[in-house]
Amino acid sequence: MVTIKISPYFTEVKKEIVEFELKEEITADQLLKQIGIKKPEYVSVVLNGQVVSKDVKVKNKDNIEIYPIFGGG
Amino acid sequence: MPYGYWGKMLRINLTTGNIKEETFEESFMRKYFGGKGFVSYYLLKEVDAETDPLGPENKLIFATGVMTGVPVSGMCRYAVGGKSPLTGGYGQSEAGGWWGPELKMAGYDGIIIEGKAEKPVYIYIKNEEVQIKDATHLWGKNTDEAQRIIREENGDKRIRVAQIGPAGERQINYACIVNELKHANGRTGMGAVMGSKNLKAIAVRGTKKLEFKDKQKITEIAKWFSGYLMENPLTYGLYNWGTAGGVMGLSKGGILPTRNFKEGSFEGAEKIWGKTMAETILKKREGCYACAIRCKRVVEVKNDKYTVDPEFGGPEYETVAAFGSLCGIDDLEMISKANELCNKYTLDTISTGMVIAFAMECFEEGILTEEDTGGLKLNFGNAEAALKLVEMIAKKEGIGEILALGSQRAAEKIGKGAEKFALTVKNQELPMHEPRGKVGVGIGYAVSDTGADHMQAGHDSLFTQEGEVLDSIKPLGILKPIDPFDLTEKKVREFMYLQFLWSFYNMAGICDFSPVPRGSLPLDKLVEVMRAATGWNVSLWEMLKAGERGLNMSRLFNLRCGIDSKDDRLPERLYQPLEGGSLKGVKIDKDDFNKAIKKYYAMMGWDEETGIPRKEKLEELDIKF
Ligand code: SF4
Repeated sequence: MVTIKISPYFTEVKKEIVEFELKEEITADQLLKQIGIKKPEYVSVVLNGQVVSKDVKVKNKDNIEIYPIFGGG
Repeated sequence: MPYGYWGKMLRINLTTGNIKEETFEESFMRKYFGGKGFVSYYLLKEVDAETDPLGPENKLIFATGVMTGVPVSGMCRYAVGGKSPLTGGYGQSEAGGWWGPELKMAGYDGIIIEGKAEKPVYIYIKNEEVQIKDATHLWGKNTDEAQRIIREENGDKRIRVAQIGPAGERQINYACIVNELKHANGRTGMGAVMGSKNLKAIAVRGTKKLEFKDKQKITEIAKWFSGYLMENPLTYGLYNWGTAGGVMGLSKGGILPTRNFKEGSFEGAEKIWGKTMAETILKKREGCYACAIRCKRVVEVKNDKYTVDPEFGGPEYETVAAFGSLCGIDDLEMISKANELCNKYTLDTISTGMVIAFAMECFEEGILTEEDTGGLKLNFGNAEAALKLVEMIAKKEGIGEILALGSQRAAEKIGKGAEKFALTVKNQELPMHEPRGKVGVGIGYAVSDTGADHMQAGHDSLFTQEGEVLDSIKPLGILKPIDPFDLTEKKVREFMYLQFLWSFYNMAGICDFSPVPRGSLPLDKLVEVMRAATGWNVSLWEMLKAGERGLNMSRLFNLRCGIDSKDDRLPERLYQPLEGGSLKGVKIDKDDFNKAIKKYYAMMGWDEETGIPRKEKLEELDIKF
């Protein structure tokens, strides 16, 4: 089971937490597309507490959080 | 006939009471575009090296841009400038809201204030009727009361008021000017300059019709953009969660200024970010003139300790971070109260938060004691003490009198090593962006004409990958993603091109959340809107050249004031490793950074060592002063 906490910035995904079983390891970018994020380029991925690049592989038991890449102003 | 502007400035001398109109040619507007362009023009022309920023010889310039008042999202801003009491050099700060467009509708592109009134006054502009009115009864009043009285005594509740509160009257070095009680020309102490002139407010009511060349085209683009901006995360996110919607991402990424820039992640980030605000104290979302992005927040708080009046809007990201993570405070209600107080007294929220965080670190390090603070336990995280300090600064009471000088000067007074906790560039406190995780922002802080400023260029984190955002700036010649830690010529070039664009936005009166790359209006559409508004066959090249011209002019003014390459530096802390957060251990390499600054000078056509613009560069940009 992989758990993804989704920043409400990304309105296309209605849930705040999505959980599901991965059949195989996939990249964070693929995962974002699977859960319905339309524009992964705007997303910053936090894997088990660390910001990672989107080509990193994710696996079951991982905790993922996604936030917008930009901030402030 | 000019389209989108009037070709008319007001010049008001408060010493003599003389009010006159000055006209300018189309070529003048097309060269300087208003805003920052006008501020730097008039300062270079009229203010010399010896001028005391708080003396009657200083000028205070209110300048709309050529686009201010065009009914498209983001075209609402104006600049206020003068010689800065904080930096001693080029002072300028922009604000949104409604005041700028209102001045335009009254028939003026800007106002030059000179001299000093004998007693407190305010200026009332009702279309072409301009009066200097007594403000003795308003002096000492907070902004809400002063605005109410001005509207009442002139019998019009639609009057827009740009004004100072008690902090501006007391000429606190980082006092700001506030319009509509919630939009601030926050930085460089322009509120203090206004106070030094005994000028409480400029109240404006404009009902004239500003002509545009192609109104239909403007309506068409405005309509298209209102829909499109809700499809783009950069702009719809601003509507949904406000500027504080980025707090969590910044904290997770290790670049949320925390405890006076010691750390980059804050354990209380979730309690203070935009989503929490929306779910708790948010009363409504608001926008500036004609803006459908509506990133502004209105909050209301009523609890046992305090109430926050929604009239003062709500805290922006900068304020949330400055009074929140930066001071180790995770109480959004307290942050909103601090925001309200700053808008009431007209204190810049960034500098005020930074000065308080500085004092907190001094306290934790034993440099300041309870004896100095009048019994306040100024530890990081003490929300009540921080609020008390805001009051003490505004009133120049106790330790507040020293802190009202700004952190650099306060540190010099306090001594005992306090200097290393004062994080400023050219005496202005750092804004809420951590350059150790996005070094281009550091270049911006260092070379900024106004002292540390986060609005010099788009931030590195937007351009690290292929995609829509990078595509949006390819017309500038930025073609490849760049690492946020990169300090090579690639970064310097990217920074410089974006700086031209940002400088132009500040000239033309455009909010950077509207066009790309921080907003979503594409550059070709922006050019189209400009053409439709002005009737000029204006090009992106021309806009960027104008932006570059503005940067060279403010540079020249700083050089005149003795601010030069020695001042284009970062506070030492940024060359030290971050002590905590997800970028713990990361620092900026000083040698690499200094090399990047020299490279920037060279690319700008400035002398590599002195940072002085070369004669030929000035000739190319047609700058003669
Ligand atoms: S985006 Fe926000 S700050 Fe900019 S004009 Fe619109 S409401 Fe004002």
